[in-house]
Amino acid sequence: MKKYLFIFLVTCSVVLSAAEKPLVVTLHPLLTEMVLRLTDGEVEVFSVFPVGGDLHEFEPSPGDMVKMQEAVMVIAMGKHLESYLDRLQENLPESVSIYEAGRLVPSVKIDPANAIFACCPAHSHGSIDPHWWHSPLAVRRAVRYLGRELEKILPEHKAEIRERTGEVMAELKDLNEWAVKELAVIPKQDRKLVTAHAAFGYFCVEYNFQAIPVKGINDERNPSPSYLAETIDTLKRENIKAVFPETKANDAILKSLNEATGIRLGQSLYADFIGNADVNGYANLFKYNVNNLVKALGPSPSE
Amino acid sequence: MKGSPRFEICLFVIAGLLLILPLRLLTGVAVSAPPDHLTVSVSETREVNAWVDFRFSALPEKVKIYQGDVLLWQGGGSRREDGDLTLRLTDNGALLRLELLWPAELKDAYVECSLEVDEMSDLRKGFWSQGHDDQLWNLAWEESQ
Repeated sequence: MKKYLFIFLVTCSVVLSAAEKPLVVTLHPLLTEMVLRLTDGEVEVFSVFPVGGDLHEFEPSPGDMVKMQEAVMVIAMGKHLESYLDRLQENLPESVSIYEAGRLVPSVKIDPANAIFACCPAHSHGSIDPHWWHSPLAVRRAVRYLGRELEKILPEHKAEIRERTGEVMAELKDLNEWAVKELAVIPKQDRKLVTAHAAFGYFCVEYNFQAIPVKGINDERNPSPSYLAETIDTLKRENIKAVFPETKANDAILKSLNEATGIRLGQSLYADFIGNADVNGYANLFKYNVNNLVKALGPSPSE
Repeated sequence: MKGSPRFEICLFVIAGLLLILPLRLLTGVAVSAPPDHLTVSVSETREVNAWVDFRFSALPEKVKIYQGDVLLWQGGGSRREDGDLTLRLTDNGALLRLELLWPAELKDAYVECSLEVDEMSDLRKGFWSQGHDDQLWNLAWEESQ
């Protein structure tokens, strides 16, 4: 009997302590990962982003809204990635703050010449590139800011959060140094990143690449023959060594480009850092992208 | 008395004084403090949050950051130091003074310093240092930031 009473009491205390934890809602898997690392179980983290979802199409469901109303903080990526944030704030009680993790990270603007290749209408025409996570140093900054915000909701754990923040920041600095070393084998003339849309601005600025977004590589609609011809001309003129689709590539177009130009097809890159069963976690997704770039743009073994 | 020229002159003078006094006051205020929209701002100054990160090849005894005479941050006793600080930017720039104190027996140490100001690109500085060293660090960003 005593044994059962003990188990009952332990269960009750676990349930109560879990219920007492402040709830933090995240809008991107990267944020979930970072909050879990920084708080180490001291908050309850609820990720509203669905597995396999599209970052630029996603909007929270009514069920997500209910969960958010119970939260102390909703964490967004910011830089206008979540175009619904104003409406979200209007529907949340004043006690729930929305924190934009990327807000204070220095912005990279989409080159006006590439504005038509922005990932969606909200991110075109000279606006800010919202994909700040392509630079580990930008993520390092965001983690520092996020750590300071989490300290405010968990003042009793300030010292531990500060220490963990320092650890994650050091890892991100190492990740950047690793990337610099790996990418060093790619000659200057081959540092051209041809992707479907202008999502790699932060990466290109950090590692001295030229971004060449080519509309249509990822497009679900088939481009016209004249557009395809124009794209082939551009790729030939720029002496492009490889093109990189993103995770939802249109194989037919890629095949046409490959057949017409002989330009190598790189492995798909993770633009939105939404992982899957094979590749997940920020560092792994970033390394996956860098390794694919090195494989396609670096010197071949015979060189 | 009523209708006498002296009385009328007195009334005239008093009325004149009553008119002149507020006019003087009004014109005086206008000269000493022109309206805001007429003033020309020579330089724009704003307070910003920043984070500084140091790496040292040897152990410094003291590290201090000053802006003018104001001590913004201090540390020491570790090969890696970082911290939050608030500084004033004038026309998108600032002049900081780094004061470093090294053990007397130390010949040379290399210092790597980076500064991250909210929403602005990182600035980095590397230098050799020894003894009681003062280094000026002129922070400047492009206007678009």
